[in-house]
Amino acid sequence: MSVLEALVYLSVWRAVAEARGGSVDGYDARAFAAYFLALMIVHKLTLSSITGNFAHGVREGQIASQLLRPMHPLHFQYANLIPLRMMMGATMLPIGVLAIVLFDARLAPTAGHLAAACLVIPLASFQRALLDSLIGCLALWIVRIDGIRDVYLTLYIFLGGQFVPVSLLPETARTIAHALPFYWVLGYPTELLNGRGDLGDLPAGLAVLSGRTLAARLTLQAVWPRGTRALETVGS
Amino acid sequence: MTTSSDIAISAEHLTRAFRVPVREPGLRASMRSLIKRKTREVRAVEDVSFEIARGEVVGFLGPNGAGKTTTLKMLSGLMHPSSGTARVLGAEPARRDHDFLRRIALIMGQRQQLHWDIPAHDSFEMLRVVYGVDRAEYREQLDELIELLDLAPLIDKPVRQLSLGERMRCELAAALLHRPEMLFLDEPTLGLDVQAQRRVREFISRYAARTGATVLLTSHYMADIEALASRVLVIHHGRLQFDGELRELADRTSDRKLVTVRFEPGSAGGADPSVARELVAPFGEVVDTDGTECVVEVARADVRARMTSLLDLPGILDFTVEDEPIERVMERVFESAAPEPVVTS
Repeated sequence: MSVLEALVYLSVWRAVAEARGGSVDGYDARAFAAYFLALMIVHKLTLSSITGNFAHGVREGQIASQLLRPMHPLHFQYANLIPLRMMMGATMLPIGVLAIVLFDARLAPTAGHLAAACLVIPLASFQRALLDSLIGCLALWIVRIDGIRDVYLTLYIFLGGQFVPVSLLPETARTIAHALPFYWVLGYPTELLNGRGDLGDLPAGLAVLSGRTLAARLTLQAVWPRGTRALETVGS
Repeated sequence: MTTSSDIAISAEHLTRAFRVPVREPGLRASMRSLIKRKTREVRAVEDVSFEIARGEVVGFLGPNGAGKTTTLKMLSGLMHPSSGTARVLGAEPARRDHDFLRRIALIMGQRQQLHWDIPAHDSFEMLRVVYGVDRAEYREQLDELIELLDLAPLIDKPVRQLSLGERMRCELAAALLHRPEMLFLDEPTLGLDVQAQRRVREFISRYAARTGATVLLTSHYMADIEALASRVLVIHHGRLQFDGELRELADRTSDRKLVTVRFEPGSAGGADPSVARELVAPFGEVVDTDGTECVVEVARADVRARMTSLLDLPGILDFTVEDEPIERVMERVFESAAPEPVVTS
């Protein structure tokens, strides 16, 4: 998500809030500004380019040389994420200052919320990497996954809280968002960093994140050898 | 006596088959294939068996689509065989154990493992970490590779700024930093100019001699095979056709010699190529004339008898008798037709 994208979402929701008498379900203009600032921070810290990079590697035949190194090709992708996220995280500092000055963003999590966010964000970023890996693995069978990737990213945007806070979604959509992994990777850490998450739910939240991360890890372990065998019929 | 520890590669009845879709062009055929797909089986490699001892340099020959690259992929672990077994350095390649991968290198023509945007030495350092090479050993190996491949002016430039020949040399170095015992080289000189080809050949020869590495090399350039390989495997339509010395292959498949006759410049044959052709025509099939020279193909069995008469030709200056170029021999080997593919629903 770019800064421009966040500004567009922010502008839209500020306009909606103003049109509804100043707030939408407890979110006024400053609260929206704070939410999208927190969202940008979490987004940068959980950023992943694995799906696109891995699929590109499969399509271009680069996967062959990666498979013959004594290192899992996905570990290589994960290693690349670390400097990427650090760099993106560093860019948030000036953007954060801008958001507070220009939009009066009211980002004031309690110490408890901040500590919770520090626990949840690394777990969320790991789960994001695993999810991206699973989607990327589809390229081992079908090579071109652009359409699938678009659907995946669209679900991420709408059900992860990137377009609108998940708490503002209709009830059915909220239920679906809580059932899928996107909210837990983006929306949930954003709510904690924004100081709006319920700290009493933290143990349950951590349990859900940990369980889903483990499930993703085990699924990847099962999928990978089958995928690399399927790739042999496509050509590497 | 050859023991199992002396064997670098053991392939037994290796077979690899693919199921490929068969579809006529057009929208209707595309829609039909969604419901009922026709496929055909392509047996890229069929029942191939051979052994290669440690330290051997073996050439792997065959026309396009013969099964060379597929065999190399099965031996390096990139592909599972459909049936049969392969063992390389005592390991099963398809398992891709990290210990096994640290002992081999597969270099495939144009494929790259260097990062495009950063200098080669940064990629080398990354590979050092990936392969777990300790610094002292890495430094020693890198210095040797820099010297052998003349890389000193290249390794500080971003890879995208290097020419194809320069990039291939850096790719070779990248593939050998971990000092592999087994090299699979798939068209290593593809696309390189003559000078670059020669440098790569010299390097591979010196590396194999210096380290005792086993090399299995495919190439369409016979100069590569002749310069490097003492033994060749010939594969065609997925089947092994020959396993032995290159010279033995030529002797077995070629029953002719090429005789190059040179005429004195002032003689009738030397002044007029058509006269030269007429003069040598009775001795065999004239295949080439060039200035004062004429090349004629003579059956091997007739060479001795005809050479005596050749010396009596007017204006003859000199003649040489040579084997057919290996390229022509290989053309004849590869001329046989392929079996018909089987289409199934």
